[in-house]
Order: sequence, then structure tokens, then C-alpha cells
Amino acid sequence: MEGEIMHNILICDDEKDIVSALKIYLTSEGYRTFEANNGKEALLILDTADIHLVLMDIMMPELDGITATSRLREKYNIPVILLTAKSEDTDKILGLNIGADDYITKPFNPVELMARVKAQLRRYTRLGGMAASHSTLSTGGIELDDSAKSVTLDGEPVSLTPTEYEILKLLMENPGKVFSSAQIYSRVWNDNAYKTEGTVAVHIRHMREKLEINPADPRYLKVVWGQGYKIERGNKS
Amino acid sequence: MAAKAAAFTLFVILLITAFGGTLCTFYLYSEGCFAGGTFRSSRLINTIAEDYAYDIGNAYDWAVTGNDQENEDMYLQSMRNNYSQEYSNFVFELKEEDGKVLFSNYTEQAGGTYVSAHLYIGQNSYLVDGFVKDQLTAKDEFYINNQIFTALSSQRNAIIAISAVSWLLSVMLALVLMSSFGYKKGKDGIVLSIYDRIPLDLLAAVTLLVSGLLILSSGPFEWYPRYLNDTIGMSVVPVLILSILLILLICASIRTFAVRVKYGKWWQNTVVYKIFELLARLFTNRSIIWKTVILFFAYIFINAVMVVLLFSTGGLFVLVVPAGLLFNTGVLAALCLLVIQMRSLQKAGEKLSDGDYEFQIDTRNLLWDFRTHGENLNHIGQGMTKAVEERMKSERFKTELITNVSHDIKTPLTSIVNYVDLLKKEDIKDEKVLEYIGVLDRQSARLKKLTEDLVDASKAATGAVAMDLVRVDLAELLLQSVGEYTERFAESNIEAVLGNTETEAPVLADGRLLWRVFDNVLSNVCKYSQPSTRVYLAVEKKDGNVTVTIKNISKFPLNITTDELMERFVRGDASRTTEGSGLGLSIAKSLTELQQGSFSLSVDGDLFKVMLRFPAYS
Repeated sequence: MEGEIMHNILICDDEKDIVSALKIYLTSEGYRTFEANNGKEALLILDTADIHLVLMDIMMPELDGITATSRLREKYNIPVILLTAKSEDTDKILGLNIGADDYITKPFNPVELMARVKAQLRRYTRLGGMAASHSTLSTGGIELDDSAKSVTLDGEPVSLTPTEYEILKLLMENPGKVFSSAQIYSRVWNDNAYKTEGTVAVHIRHMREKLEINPADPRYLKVVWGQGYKIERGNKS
Repeated sequence: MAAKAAAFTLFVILLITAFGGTLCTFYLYSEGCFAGGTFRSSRLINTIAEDYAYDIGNAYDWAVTGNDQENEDMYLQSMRNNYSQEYSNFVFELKEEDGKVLFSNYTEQAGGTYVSAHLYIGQNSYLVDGFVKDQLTAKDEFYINNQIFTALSSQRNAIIAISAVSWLLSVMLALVLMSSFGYKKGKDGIVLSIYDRIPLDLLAAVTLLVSGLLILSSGPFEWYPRYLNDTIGMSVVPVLILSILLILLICASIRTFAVRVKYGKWWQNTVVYKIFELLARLFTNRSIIWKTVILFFAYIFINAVMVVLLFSTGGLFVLVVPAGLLFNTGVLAALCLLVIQMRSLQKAGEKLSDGDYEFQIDTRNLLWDFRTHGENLNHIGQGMTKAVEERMKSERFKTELITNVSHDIKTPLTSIVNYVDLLKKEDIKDEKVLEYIGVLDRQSARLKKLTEDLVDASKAATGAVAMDLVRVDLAELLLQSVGEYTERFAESNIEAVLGNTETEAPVLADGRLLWRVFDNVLSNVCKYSQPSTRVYLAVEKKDGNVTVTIKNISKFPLNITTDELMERFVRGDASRTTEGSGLGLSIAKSLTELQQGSFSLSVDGDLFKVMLRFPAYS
């Protein structure tokens, strides 16, 4: 919980049991919840109550989640997290393209869901709150301040080892560029990449644990399998 | 019938008058009648006079050569009688070249139309000078022809009119007759007479021959009356009869052709057509071997004929040699065409054997047996395409079903996972309840993994996976994978030994899918490795292939075959107490094969070995 503000979260799913479970989790974390069973109800509630975040199921009667999300984007810029039973990449991409901020596939881990909700709310409420200095690099929710040698994720400080910090700095200085293990090794260790034995991979793995909500499905620190690693370019979510 | 016969007779008569009238008109025109000419000014009078002079010369020559004095005198006396002014209207002198008069019927100086002629008879040459008298008193050919000429000339306009009308009428009558030809009273359709049944080309040849003979046989007859007594008998009558015969022949030909055309397919009743028909019948319904044999002998025969022609008739050399060259070039071209068609069939066969069942040969340009063969090949292709499509459809249906079912399972599963988690957070002291919750937790997690794997396995098996093939370095991928698995290896108490990852080993693949393969294999290694052993991972570039080998020591004795291990839902432990869906290796194999790689397992005692092979990317 940040500050004294109580955040309002709209849960939209046609499966009542899921709605109640989510309600239990969210209220226990101190959020106020609103319930809707389809997209139409969700849009009505949005017009009457001051909602800060929406959890939206995709497959719903009356009005599906994709259409509802694109409609609410016409008026609101609050974060929307899609709940989907489809795990295909095309569905994820479609969801993000029509204006969703994040997605989570069913059956989901409650802890992971809570982490995503918190991250989205932090970024939404903190928006524009920080003055960016020239020595600050930022990608999505990650901010790296080279003068203070500190890294924050959605405003929260993250503790990285010096090697991890150097790797992150290298990747963030070149967003979108793929570095192979050998290239990272030679740039960060200043040494030939002889007999690395997966050292870089292990470091990256640790960094993902610290920087990502779901290390197996990273948002920022991406693994390009068989090529190397990169930081996603841009500031989409 | 009678009316038709009468009409036909009338037609013949009309044709005769039309022909006769036309001949007369030509005669009068060429003699200058229409320009106001008379018998005196015509060419005819000269022609007659020259013939007359020849007769004189012949008679004299015959009298003086090869006869004794007595006979000579007798012949000359008879000549004098024949050419006396009583019988002849021609007054003349027969002279030698130098002007010496040999014979003359001059009795008085007479004026008239002057005619002069040089004669060459045998070795001798003569000169005839004479006049056709103004007054034609004797009844000779000059007289007769003058009479005829005057008579025809006076009726010249009538003759033109008559011939024109005759032509008009005969053409009209011909049209009427042609429409009625071939019909018989009381009988339907066209009735063919024996004459109409004769092959047309044969009939045409005979008709042309007869007409030729008729025209030739009219040669000896004079085309103008010579003497009064044979005016009718010797000249006009035979010519007239021959003309009538010719006209009858023409009429019969017109009639029979009209009947044949009306009967339909007139060209079929010809010798040439019958021969071709016979040859065609010999050729069709024969096996391809017979056709080849017949064609071969035909080829030999034609060449033999040409060789014979070449040696027997030297004059035809110019004609035979180019003809032979042309013929043999044509045969070569035809052979090449056949070979090309054979080749296109071969190609189609190759495509079929390669599994391209969509390929269809264009049979429109193929000949005979090639076309049938091509159509058969096309039918095979169509049948196979249909079978393959059916199979793909059923596979797709299966995948769709699995996807939908697992999708429907996920929603209730979400509730189960969530509420189990909520239960765990409740303050429960009962040991038993806690144990039960633990079971629910584990099994719901397994169910989750199983539904996800099921969708992946079915998609990988049917190829319904979106692939983005790029250059992927297998050495880098292996390093990354081992990095991801460091903690899990440590948990399972096994040590990873990497080999040969310093050099790049690029292949063309989808890195994300390849990671799924490595993920499944390494997860397998963690689950089934004997603790305190090593897992060996190596990349090798050899013979244009990149091979990744992963070896570990199995915890359980592997008493099943490697093929069975890759089957869906088969697991190394028969009791199935460990986590996992039993789909891991099956998915790994399918995904590898989708990316044109090969996935193989081998078991040697407790040594479990996975080999991935991809063609190297350059």
C-alpha cells in the first residue's frame, strides 16, 4: 500500500468463484473492490465509481474483455490487466495492442497476480512524479541512476550486485540490442570469454528474479534464445 | 417421275442450245461479225484458202513423185477436172520457189480476194498464188461457208439472245433439279442409284478420262464444212454428238454430286477415304507395341520407296533428296516430341513420389497413350491430395478439440488453485487437514501443467505452431539453458559439465521453441538423474551438422525402449509418483522435427542420452 489512499479495483469476470477469490486477496491487501460479470457492467461501474485498476477476463458474455478494454481506453488511462485462459502469443499481443497494460494467464498464481497489481498501481500513481536526470536510464518500470549507482523497479529500490548492475547498465544503454553471453562477459568482466560455463546466464537469471514479477515470462530483461539477452526498447506498459 | 425426266431432258436441250449459242457467238465475234465484217473480210476465208492451197499442193506432189509418166498424166488430168472453174471458186497458180508455174486453173483473168501461201511438202516447197472469186458460182467450201456465215451473221443478235436465255433457264432448271435429285416417289430420304454409289474420286477420274477421250476424238473432224456432200455427215454431226455426250456427262456429274452432298458426308464414299479408314482401323485398338511395329514398317517402307525412286529415276533427284530430308527431319521431330511427352510424365511421377500430390500434368498437349497415362497420374494425385486433406482435417479437428477442452478446464482450475491457496492462509492447526491441503496443492499444480502440456503436444504434433526461423547459436542456447537450470541442478544434486561451447554453432531455428526442447530435456534430467552424478552437455559441429548431446545417469532402471519413452504419457517410472505429464519428450521431439532437426534417444544401461541434430547454418 502506498500512502493513505485506498485504491479501487474493478474485477470483471463471469466466473463468480474467481471473482470472490480475487476479492478476498485484494481486500486482504487493503484494496476496495468492485465486481462486474461482463464488459457492459464493467463500463457502467467505471462511469459511476472512481476506479484505479481493472482486472478484466477476456471470454465473457454480452461484451468480451477485448472490446470492453478498447472502449474504456477511449475515456480512461487507468491500468488494465487481462485475465486470459488462452496462452497463445497472438492473444497476448492483441490484448496489449488494444490498450491493456499487462496480462496474466489462467490458472494464475495469486502471488504473481498481486505483484502485478501492485506494480501497475505504483507506476500509475507515481506517473510524472520523478524528475529524470541526465544520468538516469529508464525502461518501463526500471530506472537506473548511474550517479547514485541505484536501481528502482516501479519506484521501489532493487538491490543488485556490482556485476549485475554493470550488466543491467550495459543492456539499458543499448535498449533493443541483443548481447551474446561472450559479448557481455568481455564488456563487463573486461576479459576474454573463455570457459564462461554459463556464468553470464546465471547472473541474468538472478537479475530476472529481482527485476521481474514472473522470471519465466520477463517483461523487461528478455532472453533471446540462442542469441543472447536484451532490454526491451521503449516504454510501452 | 415423268415430269422429272422431262425436266431433265429439257435441261439437257437447254444446255445444248446454251453451249451451241455460246460457240456460235464466239465464232461470229472472232470472225469480226459484230464489227460489221463480212465473209470476205473474215479470217475464215483465209483459213479455208490456205487449207485449199495445201490440198492442191498435196495432190500435185502426190501426182508427180513416185509415179511413172502415164500415171502422172492421169492424176494431173483428174486434178484439172477437180479444180476446173465449174467446181472451184479459187483461181490459182502453183509455182516453184523461183516462180516457174507448175500447175494452173487460170482460164481468164478474174478479180477477187487475193490469197498467197508457201507450202512445204516433204522435200519440196511450193508457192500458191490465187483469188477467191467475187462471184461464188461453184458449190465448193467457199460457197457453203459463205452461206452459213451469212445466215448466222444475219441472226447474230437472236443467237446471243437465245444463248443467254438458255443459260439463264438451264441454271434455274439446274437449281430446281438439284433440289429434287435423289428423291424417289413413295420413299423417304435420299435414294442412291448404283451410279451414286461409285466412289467419288474413282468416278471423277473415269469421267475426266472419258471427257478427255471425247475431246480428243473430235480432233480428226473438221470444224467447218468442207464439201457439200459431207456437210452434215462428216463434220457437224460427229462434233454435235460428241458435244451432247459431253454435256450429258457433265449433267450426270452435277446430278450425282448434288445427290451425294444431300445424302451427307460425300467425302466418305471415296477410295482415298476408305484407304485411310482402313489404315486407321488397323491402327486403333492395337497395343502400343503393334502401333510401334506398324509405324516402324511404314517408316522403312517410305524410305525404301524413296531410295528406289532415287536410283531408278535420275531426273527426280532434285525432288527426291529434299523430300527424303524433310520426311526424316519430320520423323526425328516427332520422336523428340514423344520423348518430351515421356519426360513430362516422368516429371509428374517424380513429383508424386516426392509427395507433391497437388501437381497436375497438362494433358491437353499429350498424345494418345501418353494422355491416358497422364490422366491416370493426375487421378492418383487427386486421390492422394484428398486423403491427405482428410487426414489434416481430422488432425486439426483433434487439436482444436484438445485446445477447447483444456481451455474449458482452465477456468475451474483457476478457482481450485486460488481457493487452495486461500485455505493454506487460514489458521489451521489440524495436521491432517494441512496434509490434505498439501495434496490438493500438488495435484492442482500437476493438473495445470498437464493441461498446458496437452495443448502444446497436440499443437507440436500437428505442426500448428507459429515459427520464426532465424540464425540461432546452439552453443549460446546451451549456455543460456544451463544458466537457467543452475539452481535446479543444485537442488537435484547433480553437476553440469559443459563441452565445446566456446565456438559458435549456428543453425536455422526458432529460439523460443528450441528453448522449449532444452527446457523439457533438462527438466527430465533433473527429475530422473541419480543424485551426486554429472550431466554432460556438449555441442559438436561435424559434416555440415550441429549436434547437441546431453547425457545423464538414470535414477531408475530403464527397462523400456527409447521409442516407448518418446510416446505420449510414458514416463521412466512405472509408478507415476513423480511430477510431470509424460509429454515432455514427445513435445521436444515434435518441436525439433518441426524445425527440420532430428531428436533421438539412446539408453545404455543407466546411461540416458539425448541427441539433437540440426543442419548447420551458413
